[in-house]
Amino acid sequence: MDIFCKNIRRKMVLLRPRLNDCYNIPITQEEVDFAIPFLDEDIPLYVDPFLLWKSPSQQDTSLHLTLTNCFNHLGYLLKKDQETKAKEILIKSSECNEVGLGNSKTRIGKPIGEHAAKEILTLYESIPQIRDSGFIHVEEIQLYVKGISKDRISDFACTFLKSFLIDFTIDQCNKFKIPLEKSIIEVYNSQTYKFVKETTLLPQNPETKKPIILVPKRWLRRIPWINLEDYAFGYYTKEILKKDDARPELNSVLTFNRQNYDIVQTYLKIKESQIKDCKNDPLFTPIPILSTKRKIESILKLPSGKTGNADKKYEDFVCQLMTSLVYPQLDFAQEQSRTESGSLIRDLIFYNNRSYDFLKDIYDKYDSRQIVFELKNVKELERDHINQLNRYMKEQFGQVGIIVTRNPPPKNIFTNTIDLWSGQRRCILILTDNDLKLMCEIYEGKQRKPIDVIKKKYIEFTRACPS
Amino acid sequence: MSLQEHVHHNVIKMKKTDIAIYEKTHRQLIDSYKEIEELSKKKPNEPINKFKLKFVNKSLSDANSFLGDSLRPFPDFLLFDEDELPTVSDVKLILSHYKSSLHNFMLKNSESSGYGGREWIINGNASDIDVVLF
Repeated sequence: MDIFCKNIRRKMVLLRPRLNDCYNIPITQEEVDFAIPFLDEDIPLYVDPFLLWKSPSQQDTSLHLTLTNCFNHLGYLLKKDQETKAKEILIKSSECNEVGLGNSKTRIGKPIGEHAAKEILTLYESIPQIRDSGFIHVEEIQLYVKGISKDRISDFACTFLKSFLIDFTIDQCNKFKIPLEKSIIEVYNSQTYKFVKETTLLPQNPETKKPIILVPKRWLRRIPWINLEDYAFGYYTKEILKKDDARPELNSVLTFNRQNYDIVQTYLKIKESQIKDCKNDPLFTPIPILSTKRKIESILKLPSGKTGNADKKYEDFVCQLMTSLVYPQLDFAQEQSRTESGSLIRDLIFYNNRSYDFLKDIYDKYDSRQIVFELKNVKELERDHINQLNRYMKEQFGQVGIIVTRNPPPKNIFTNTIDLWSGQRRCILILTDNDLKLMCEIYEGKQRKPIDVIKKKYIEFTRACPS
Repeated sequence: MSLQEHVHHNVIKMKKTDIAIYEKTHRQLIDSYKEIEELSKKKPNEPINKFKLKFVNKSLSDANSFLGDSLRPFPDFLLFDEDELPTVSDVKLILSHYKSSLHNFMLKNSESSGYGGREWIINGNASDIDVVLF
């Protein structure tokens, strides 16, 4: 069986697999310049053209110019009575599945319809200033046309800049040794203003064989800097509406905008002047120190058991804490709930990117590609709890699991984990309130890494195992 | 015979060349102690960072080569293990004991000069080299 097939087989057991996971490439989101794509779903971020416009890099600003030129060329086509051609390009450019950005759970989106395309193109006729000079920020169309939102703007940008993104993808893949496959892809040529089919090398989704394009992290935001909600409920409500006016309906705002181009331009000028506040969004933002302090205090005050929903609260707090405490060494994959023996069990799953010495060790020794943290708000850990996790690991993960619970385990339970190592080579670590507290203190002090506490537990466990 | 061999056989004999090494080791250990003492006033239970620990361990290792098994403060302690996440107060405690042990080492290897100071005993004989007191 070749390595590729082996990797596919391994991918099947991973939760929320990413491109690097299927090729077994140990990279963390923090260390790479692109957003690591998921294989089965979209990344919930969008390309914001404003980030290119404000970038100090000449390359990015040039790309922004290319984007607006490509878009404004549609207006030119309209002037030359080539509406059908303009509409075709617009529809084709409104979806860019290769980049996998947005909210889709399948990585497949739909292009805009003929009606929406017509509405966008009408802007080049109905608004004289746009007819004469075109758009400076293509995001502006969100403010005039219904149904054009952040995902569309992102897709337009990715389609018109696809040629650059392909080069970027090849560079990054070569850098991190991500395999490239021959792919035929439709690219918009910004010189001929036509879509052309190109044969190039790109990474592929190993299951669907569809090409994947990587996007620089510096271009991504959760919401575009210029967006309809910000305009309608920020600028429009404050500056245009009178005191007693009701909250505006978005449709009426769009109609108003089409008739009041100058007002929209004033809003855009304000957004341009606030350029310093516009920053790209990371895929994951660790919680602030103050927040970890509050959360650990709340955890320590919680009773064990289920009284007053203490178990749910405990799980929520630990989930919010742990994802930040182990970042960036462990990227968070997913939170998961499952029912076993009638009780609901919540787990946190992290990708093991081998970014730390002991993480590499557990990867090599225990085939731990994802690490599962099981949360247990119980006073005393029991044999059943250990066995539940063991069964779960057997089904889905490598041989490393971590139980997060309130108190140190009784001696016989700890011995049980050692027995599981002796019999089945399982590594089950147990973190308690004290360990969580120490992790939070380290998170605050920054003298060590909170994950060192887990490493310490691992070393203690290893030392306790029979040699 | 090296210093280590002297110590190993519990025959603590200073050579002239050892004095500079001892003085450097003792000075560094005291400086580390002062630094850690300051830190421990703020956050005694915080794990110490790897950078500081590396240098603390270097000082302890140098001190161990003088002290040997007979004068080392704790028989089962040699150096800190960074993976054990030693706290600031752990390090302070150990350095404090090592400070005393190095002082004892000096007392055993020197004699009163008669003027309130002390002079090193070199190769088993009194010398006129003054002990620098820290």
